[in-house]
Amino acid sequence: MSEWKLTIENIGVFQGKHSFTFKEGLNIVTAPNAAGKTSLLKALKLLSDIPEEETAQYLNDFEETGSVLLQNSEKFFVSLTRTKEGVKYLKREKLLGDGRAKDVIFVMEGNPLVEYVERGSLENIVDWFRTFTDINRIEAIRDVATNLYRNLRNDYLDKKKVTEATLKEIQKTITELETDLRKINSRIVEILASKEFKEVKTRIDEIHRKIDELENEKAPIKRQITELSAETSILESRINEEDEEIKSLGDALHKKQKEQSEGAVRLAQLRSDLDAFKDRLRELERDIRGKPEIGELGLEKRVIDLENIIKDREELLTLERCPKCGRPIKKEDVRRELELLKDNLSKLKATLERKKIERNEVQNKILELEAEIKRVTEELVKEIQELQERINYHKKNKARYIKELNELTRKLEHLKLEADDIEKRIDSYRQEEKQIMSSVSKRLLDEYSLLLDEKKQKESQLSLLEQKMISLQKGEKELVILEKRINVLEQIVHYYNERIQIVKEKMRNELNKSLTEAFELLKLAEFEKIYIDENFELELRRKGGVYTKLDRLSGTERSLVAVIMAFVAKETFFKEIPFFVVDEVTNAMDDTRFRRLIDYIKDKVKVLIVTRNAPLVGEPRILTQEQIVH
Amino acid sequence: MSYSLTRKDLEKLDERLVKAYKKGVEAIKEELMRFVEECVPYE
Repeated sequence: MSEWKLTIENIGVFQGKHSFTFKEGLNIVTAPNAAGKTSLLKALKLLSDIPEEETAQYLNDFEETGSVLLQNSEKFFVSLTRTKEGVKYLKREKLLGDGRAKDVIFVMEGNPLVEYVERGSLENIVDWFRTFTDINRIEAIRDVATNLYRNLRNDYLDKKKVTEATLKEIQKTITELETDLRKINSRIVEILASKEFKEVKTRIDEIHRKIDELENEKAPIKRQITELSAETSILESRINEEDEEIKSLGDALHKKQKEQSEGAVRLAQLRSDLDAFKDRLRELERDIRGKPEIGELGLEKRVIDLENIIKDREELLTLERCPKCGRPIKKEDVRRELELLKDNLSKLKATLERKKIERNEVQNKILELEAEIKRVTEELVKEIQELQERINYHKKNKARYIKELNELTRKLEHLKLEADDIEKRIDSYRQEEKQIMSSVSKRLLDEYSLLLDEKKQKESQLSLLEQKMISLQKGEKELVILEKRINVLEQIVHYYNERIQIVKEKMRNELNKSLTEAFELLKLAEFEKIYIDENFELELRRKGGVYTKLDRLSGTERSLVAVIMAFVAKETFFKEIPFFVVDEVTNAMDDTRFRRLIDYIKDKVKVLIVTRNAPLVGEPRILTQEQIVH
Repeated sequence: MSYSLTRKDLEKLDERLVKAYKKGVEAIKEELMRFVEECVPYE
């Protein structure tokens, strides 16, 4: 059977190095009050990822450093040091759990779950379970992700609907325009085939060939212009988006900077308060410990001196003659002096106690102020820095987009010049064509001219619509991106829903299964079932199916429920941790109930440690009083 | 058409969202959008 060796140095009431051995199975720590039982357990608790701001209550008041080492085949280690800013971790090698575990491993004073159960505060128990299982956070994130998903999806569907309807409309108009153009072209061919036109046909054919060539040259340029225009408008909208983001972040930054400048006044006040408390702490330390280097005695030393004097006087009372001078002892005088000395001693002790209490309060106040100063300075600076970094990120994006936009605009200008040049050349050919046609009859000429105008107009309409089509097709690419993003959000929502399901169903089922089993095995006649519903609310059923409330149970029953609930939560969430520790909670239970409880737990956990004022008869593994040092 | 996230991607995102959760709903929203844009950028 393996043993766990615990080595404590300067933790709780322990000064110097002390070692204890825990065997696998049940370890009952029995000792009178104030013998150091709780300090022993606190040392173990320090290994369970205690927040640094709480470590001051673990280090021995008179020491500068302390440590806890727990080992068998594994090794857990934590060391502390006292600094100007308070007690800090020096080293942490391996810990028992992730900070949450301590609430279910250590059933002792300060355990919130036990406190809520003992108070019968259902609301607090629900809150505790929700925080412990992380369900509050998971649900909040799931809700934000779901809203984002819905908004993005609605946006996508709206855009898709509009794009599809517009595309359909444009397609219809293009078909109509193409039909009209076919008719116009066929009439132009008829006119050109007439006798009057035949005479000038050769030159007209040549002009038309030239115009066709130029149109062919113009078409790809127009297409490029359309594409670049669409890209330009996308870039412009991105620049606007970045501008909006920069503005909103700028507003947030301004707000934080204002908070920072207002905080300067508060900071000065906090620092001045801190200095005042530190001065007071020094005064108190001096009152308590004195200043030996200049021969000034502190209250502690004065108490010891006075106790020694009293001891001397009490010894004198047992003698008849003074051992130094041999004269008879006037016992009445010694008694009077003794009374006076005892009176002084009790006053001195009361003052010392008062000063020590005040010292603790001042130390706590200093820790609070230091934490507040840290929050006001570091956190705000960090937030401002983050905001500035984000603004810079968006500014960089904007600058990149502007650079791309300028480049596109230059290309676009160049292409437009080329297109204009071609257009001018086409126009000059058309002028020449008109001139040649003047020799043809007016009616035919008018019709021909009208047809050409109409053809030009329709072609221009067609070109505009084609540009719009390309632009919409670009917009469709954005829709694809939007669709992919919606898909990513859908997976995120699914992931969080799954986690909620796991916490609410699987873990709750585990808890309920263990609770039911525990109550069946413990044969508690008073109530037969305790049940956690899907909202983590507790339901208690007395025998015969009568529901009851937690606050109607007796104090001992509530202590029992608290221990069992902490234990099943530990088994459900932190089964891998070998320890379960119960301090004092069971003192009020009778031996039968106590034995049933520990018999139930000790078979399920590797090392069970229970502290109790009175020993339990017949229990083989006991950490004796001799091992508790103080 | 779809973008597939692995369990590891989602766990890493969760670590980012744990930090954002302490700052409030807006921060969660921003962090989610940033993640989505990283997965599916414009270009």
